Amino acid sequence: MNSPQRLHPITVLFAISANLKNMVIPLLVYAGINLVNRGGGQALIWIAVGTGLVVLFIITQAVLSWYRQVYFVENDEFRMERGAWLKKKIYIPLKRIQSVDNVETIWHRLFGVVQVRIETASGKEEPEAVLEAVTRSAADQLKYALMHQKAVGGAESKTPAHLNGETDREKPLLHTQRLSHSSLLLAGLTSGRLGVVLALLGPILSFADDVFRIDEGMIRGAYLWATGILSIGWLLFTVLLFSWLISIISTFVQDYRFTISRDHSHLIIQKGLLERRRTLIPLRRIQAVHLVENLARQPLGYATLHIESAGYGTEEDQKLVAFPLLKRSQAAIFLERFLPEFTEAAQAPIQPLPRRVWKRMVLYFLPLPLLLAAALTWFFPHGGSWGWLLLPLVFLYHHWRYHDAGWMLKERVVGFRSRRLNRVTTWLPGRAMQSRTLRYTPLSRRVNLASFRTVLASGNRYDSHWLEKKDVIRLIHQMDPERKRDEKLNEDSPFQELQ
Amino acid sequence: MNVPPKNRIHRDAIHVWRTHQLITAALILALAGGGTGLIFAFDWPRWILITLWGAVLLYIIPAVWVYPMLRWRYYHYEVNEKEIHIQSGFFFIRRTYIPMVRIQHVNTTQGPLLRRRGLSELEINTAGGASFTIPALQTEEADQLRNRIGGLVRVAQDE
Repeated sequence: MNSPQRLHPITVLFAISANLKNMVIPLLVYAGINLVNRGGGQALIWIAVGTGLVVLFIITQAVLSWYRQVYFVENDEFRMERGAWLKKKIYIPLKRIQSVDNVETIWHRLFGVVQVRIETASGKEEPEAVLEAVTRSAADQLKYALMHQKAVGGAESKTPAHLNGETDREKPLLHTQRLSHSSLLLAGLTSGRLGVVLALLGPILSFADDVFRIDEGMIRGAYLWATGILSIGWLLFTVLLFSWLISIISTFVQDYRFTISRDHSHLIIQKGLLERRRTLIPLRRIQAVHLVENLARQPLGYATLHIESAGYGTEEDQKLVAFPLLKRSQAAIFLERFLPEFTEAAQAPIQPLPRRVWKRMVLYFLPLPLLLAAALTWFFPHGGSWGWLLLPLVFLYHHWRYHDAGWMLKERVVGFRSRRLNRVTTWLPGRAMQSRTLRYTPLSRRVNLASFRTVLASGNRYDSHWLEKKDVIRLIHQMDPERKRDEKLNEDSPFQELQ
Repeated sequence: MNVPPKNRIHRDAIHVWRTHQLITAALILALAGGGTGLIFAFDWPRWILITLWGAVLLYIIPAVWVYPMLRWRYYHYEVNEKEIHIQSGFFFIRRTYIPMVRIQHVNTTQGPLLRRRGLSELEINTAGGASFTIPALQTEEADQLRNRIGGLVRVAQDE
């Protein structure tokens, strides 16, 4: 990896086709102008010459930039030089590298090459360095050099022998789990958010439609009103069914042969049907784990596991699916294999919120729908009183939220469970917390309630529900990094390398 | 953990915040004036006018006179060798602990309003782009504190 390497020559072809694609419209415009202005044979000559020049330029440019682009690892830095006419040098310290991803489009797979993206924590949308096409073994070698060099002890001390021994195989994989085809199908079926629930409402709508159609004796106005609503209902149903189908297909394409594996210090996630994507995430970069149970999956006992990593910038929401569909009862085993740091906390008993929070979470939300219903009744004396239905709905919804909320704490990891529509359980390790905040108001102080807030290195902020103030204080105490250091000296923890 | 941090920020913070709020208030008053013009021009019902000015005054008077005072009263900070402890807010009171090992860098900044009173603002940044401020310290004090924190951060991270 010390000697400068070129990309795979197929890069030239990729660049030519990409640039040609960009030039199609300008060339067509150019041809159009020529045909209008000159006409006849003269125009054809101009067009041929113009197009020829452009194509020649694109080819030269592509060959030249391939020829001039080299990458290598030197002095604990990833270095890349590129640019057909102006030379640009990109140096990225190995320490700053957050992730190295392989992306394979269908074209890459056709030629047996991969695209490598190197990202840092800059928060920029684009990766810091993109190697358009390299062979798989070159990608493995590079990845090895980028991710494992630090462990070996700096660039100078690593020996070629050591490299040769392990280049093709990275560190031995400890665990691997693949999503079965039946799970993939189930994941697709239950992936839509509200869509599924509403699509299930469809048969009910159709039933109602039949009933109304039979009953011809109804008052004409009411009938028209009802059919108006119902045909809108049918339209909605069709749209939802369609979007459901699309979501099934897109799940299939995205998560096909979803595989997660783990070596000593990284998670490796591979997925995709047309575009095979491989992502490498250092375990110590993981900031939070989320177990998401959506409305369709929760009754079936299934959930999705997300991880949140520092350094994915704004590119894709920072959250990454660690496994698309998992039996909730298997979550602990999964965590033990792939994210052992979180196992204990996930098995800790969940504690409900204090009883007096119920009032704050349920009753305090009632005045608004009450006012709304009153206003509706006042302004629309006929249909407005339906607005009172809001009241029990809001009540039940917030009661549901209270009922499902809770928290758990074990050693250095805290878990919070809450619900908006999906039930989400989030586990946060103390090492990811950049700051810890105790929040209260003069009112909550009187009843000894407070809430916990933390900001993670991923930039996301988490607020707990109201908890006992003493519990929040304990939490803040327990997540103190200084405290941890003293403890860690005594026990030989398997997670030592996480720090 | 149940005691608020012991240091207060400079009392002149109240004046700075008040001036700040006055500028905002002037903008709101200008808008409200424009609204009044519209109400008269189009002859809209008078209750709109009353509601508008009621709301404006109800916001402006506490925002200019009361909030800065309360905010100052609850703003506390403390720096020890392990962490920085900041309390802020007067309705939602936030008591934040920032461990030295998590601090990325510390800045002092000074806007025109602060400069007039010889004050500076200390800004503490952690990874992930979060920042916390100690809003009004005497410039000299702020610079000293910044250097002190910088030193503590280096010690904490070397360990």
